[in-house]
Amino acid sequence: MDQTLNPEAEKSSVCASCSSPEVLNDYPVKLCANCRNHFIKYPIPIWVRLFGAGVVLLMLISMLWLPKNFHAAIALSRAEKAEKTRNYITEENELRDAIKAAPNSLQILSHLAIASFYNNNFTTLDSVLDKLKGKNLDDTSLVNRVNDVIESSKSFMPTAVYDSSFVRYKNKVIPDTALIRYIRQHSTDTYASLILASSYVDQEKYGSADTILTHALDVDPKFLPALEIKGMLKREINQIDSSLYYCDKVLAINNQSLYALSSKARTILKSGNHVEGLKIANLVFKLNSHFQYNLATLAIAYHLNQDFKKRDAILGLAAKDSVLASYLTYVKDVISGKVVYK
Amino acid sequence: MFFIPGILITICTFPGVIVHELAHQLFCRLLKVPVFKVVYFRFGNPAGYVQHEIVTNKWHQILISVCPFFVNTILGALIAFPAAIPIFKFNNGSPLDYLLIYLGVSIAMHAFPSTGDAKSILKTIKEAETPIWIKIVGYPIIGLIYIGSLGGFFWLDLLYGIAVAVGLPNLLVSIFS
Repeated sequence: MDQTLNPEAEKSSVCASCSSPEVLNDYPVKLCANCRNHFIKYPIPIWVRLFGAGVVLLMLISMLWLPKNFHAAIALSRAEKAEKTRNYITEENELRDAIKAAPNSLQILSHLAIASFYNNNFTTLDSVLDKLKGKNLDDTSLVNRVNDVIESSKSFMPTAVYDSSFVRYKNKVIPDTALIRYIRQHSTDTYASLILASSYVDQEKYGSADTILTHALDVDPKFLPALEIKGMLKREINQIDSSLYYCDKVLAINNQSLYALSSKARTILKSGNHVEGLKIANLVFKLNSHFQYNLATLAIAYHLNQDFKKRDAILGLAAKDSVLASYLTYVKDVISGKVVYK
Repeated sequence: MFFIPGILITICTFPGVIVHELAHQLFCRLLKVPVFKVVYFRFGNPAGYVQHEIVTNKWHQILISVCPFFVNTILGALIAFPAAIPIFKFNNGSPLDYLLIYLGVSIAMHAFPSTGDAKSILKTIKEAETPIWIKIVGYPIIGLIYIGSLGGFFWLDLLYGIAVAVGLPNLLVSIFS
C-alpha cells in the first residue's frame, strides 16, 4: 500500500497530501489535520487483518492449552527427578497427574512403567506396556530402563517351564518336595525359589527359607521379593542388624518401598526404639494410607508407644477390610503377648 | 555444511516479517505518527518496511524502532509455549503443535529490529538536544541491534527464535518443577 506525498507541496506551505492551505505546522511533514489523521490511521489491508486475526486466534488457543500443558510438564519433570532419586511413589503420583493432560505420551507412559514396577503395581505395568507395544521412542536411555523393568518383572511371574512342570497341581498347593526337585533341575528360576521360601515362611521354617532366598539372590542380587522376605525373616529370628541390612538393600533400589520401610519400622520397634519405629511407620502412612501391612505396623507402633486410642482406631478398621483384618490378627497377638515384640 | 540463502529463510518464516512490520505500524498509530507506506512482505531485502514521518519525540522513536522486539518475542513465546511441551517433553506432538512451533519460531526469529531501525534511532539520539538518559538507553540498543544483525550471518535470529519458542518453555518447566 503506497500513498506517496507531493514533494513540491512539502516545500510549500500547503498540505503535502491534499494541497489544502490549512496545514499543521508543528510537524516535520506539512499535512492538514484530516490528512494527518488519515496517515496516522494508515489502513491495514484486509489480508493483513485476517492474518493478524489468525495469529491472535492461534495465540488464544495456545493460551487455553497453556495451563494444562504447563502443569503436566511440571508434573513430568518432578516425576523424572523423583525417578533419579528412586522415589517411585512420588514419581507415580506425579505421572498420574501428568497423564491426564497427555494420555498417549510415550515419555509419560515409559516412566509410569518404571514407577509402577517398583511400586509392585503390576496391573498398571501391564496396561502401560500394552500401550507402549510397537511404539518407537527416541530416548534410548529411557527405552533401556523400560526394557530392564520388563526383564526384571519376568522374575515375578511363573515361567512356561514352571507352569508345565506343575500343571497337575492346578488350583492346589504345590508340595515343598516337588518345588525342591524342580529347583534342583532349574536352579536359576527365582520365581520357584520365592514360592518355596514363602511356603517355608508360612511354616515358620525361617532357616530353610533363608537358605533358599540366599540361593535366589545368588542368581539375581537385586531380586526385590527375596530381599524383602529376607528383611522380615531375619527380624523373626532376631537378627536385627541383618534385617536392617536387607531392608536397606531394598531401599537402596527403591527409596520409597512401602514394604521395606514398614518392615524396617517393625525391626526398629523390635530393637526397642519405639519412637523411631513409630516415626517410620507414620512416614509410610503418609506415602500410602491404605497399605494394610503398614496399618498393622502402625498399630504395633502405637501399642508399643502406649497410644492405645490410635491403636484401637486402626483395629476398628478391620471390620471393613478383610485383608487388613488378617494383618491385624498378628497385631492382636502382639497386644495379647502371644507374640513377644522385643 | 551447505549455504542456505538468508532470503530463503525469510520467505519460509514470512509470518514473522508481517508481524514485525505490523508491530511498527501499530506503534506508529498508538503514538500518533503518520505512516506513508507499509510493505508487510516482499521477496527482497529488506523483506518488509514501514515509512513514517520523522519522529520528533526521541523516546517515541526508540519505542517505534524496538517495539517488534517485544511484540514478536512475546507473541512467538505465547504461541509456541503450549506446543513445545507435547513435542519436546511428552514426545506426542500433534500436527497443530508443529504448526504452532513453526509459527512461534518464525515470529520470534524476526524480533530483532533491522539496521534501518538502528539508523533511525542513531539519527535521533545524535542530535544535540537529545536528553542524556535517552542517549544512555539508545546507544546500547543500537549496539545490540547491530550485534543481532551481524549475528544473523551465524543464524543468531533463528537461534533466538528457537530459544524463545523451545528453550523458554523448557527453562520455565525446570524452574517451577
